[in-house]
Amino acid sequence: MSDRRLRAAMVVLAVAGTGVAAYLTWVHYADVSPICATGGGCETVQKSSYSEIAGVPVALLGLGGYVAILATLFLPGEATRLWAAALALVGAGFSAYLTYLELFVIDAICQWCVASAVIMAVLAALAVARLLRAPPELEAAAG
Amino acid sequence: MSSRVEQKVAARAQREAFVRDQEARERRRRTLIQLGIALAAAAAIVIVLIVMSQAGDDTGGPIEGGAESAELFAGIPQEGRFLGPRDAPVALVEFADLQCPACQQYSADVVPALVNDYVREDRLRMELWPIAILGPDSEVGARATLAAGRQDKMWEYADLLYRNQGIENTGYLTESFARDVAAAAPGLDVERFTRDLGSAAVERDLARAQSTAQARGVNGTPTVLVGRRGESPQAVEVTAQGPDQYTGAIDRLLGQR
Repeated sequence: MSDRRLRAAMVVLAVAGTGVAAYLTWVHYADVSPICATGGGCETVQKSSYSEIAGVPVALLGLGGYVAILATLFLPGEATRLWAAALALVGAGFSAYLTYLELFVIDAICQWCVASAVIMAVLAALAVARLLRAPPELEAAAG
Repeated sequence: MSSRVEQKVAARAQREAFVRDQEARERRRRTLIQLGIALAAAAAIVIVLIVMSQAGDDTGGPIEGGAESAELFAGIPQEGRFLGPRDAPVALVEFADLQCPACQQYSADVVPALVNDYVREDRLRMELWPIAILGPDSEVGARATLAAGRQDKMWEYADLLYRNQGIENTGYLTESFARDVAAAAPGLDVERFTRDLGSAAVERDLARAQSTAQARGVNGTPTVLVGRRGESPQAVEVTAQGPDQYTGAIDRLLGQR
């Protein structure tokens, strides 16, 4: 896959992730129940003691992460690839922990959270692939 | 002549290819180092987030309702799991899971009426068996309540835990949370409570509560049984919320005397 296509795929995923995280952040602050296909699982997860870190909703952290990744995809410079990869790896790692909590501690599944975890994992894979592959078109342009 | 030029061109091409190759290797090496740094930084940040998440799990919000709990049971004799005078004509036995929402509702809607109208009038003695049936948090809740029972403060403690109940199986009911509740319960020795919480004695109390519940055929909470003192209590069939069905059953037993 070319660098341009990788970047385009990442933009689509980051926008989708931003949507999911924005919805969950709104649900958190509006104190309403999320639309949920898994019974009351989403609400249980959203209201669990793990839904906040030092008073900050996890959903808001996710929203910040997606927006930051999105920003790196539109900013110029080689370093932005590294930032995108680092941010997506943090997101994917923390999402894996949250999914573990859902499965084995909270014992409830929130489909929105799972969707976000999958999006973040794919974003991380694409960001690493983009970092690893030599970007010939950029070099040609620069050279 | 032309062969010399060709040789020069070939040599230059070779040199350029070599330089390109070196540059590509260098770039590859740099990228791998960058990826390594990104991975290490990401791992460090994830670990920090996990630690903060776990710490947040322990702090929770402030415990509220200590004064109300103390007032509800003030002046009533307690012995371990028992509340009320030994010679009360009717006994009520409750099996409860401290993180169960229905138990919380029973504690809020029914217990105050029973305490004020029956226990305080020496007509009823209540018995609480904390059991664990919903999940791992239930065990902490049950052990904590049993530990408070060792200081004859089980009823205040259970009431206060219910007043601060979170959503079941969300990981809020940790030993740390149990200690916070103990600290907010007037008259409870928190140091002793903490020692008892992890003690083999409380572990045995819980095993006894579990086997008693099993022997009584308890398969949900709250399960409430009433009977005359010294007789085998029978389960109260509940079809509506509120204290009426419980008080009705107690009144019938009192009327039979």
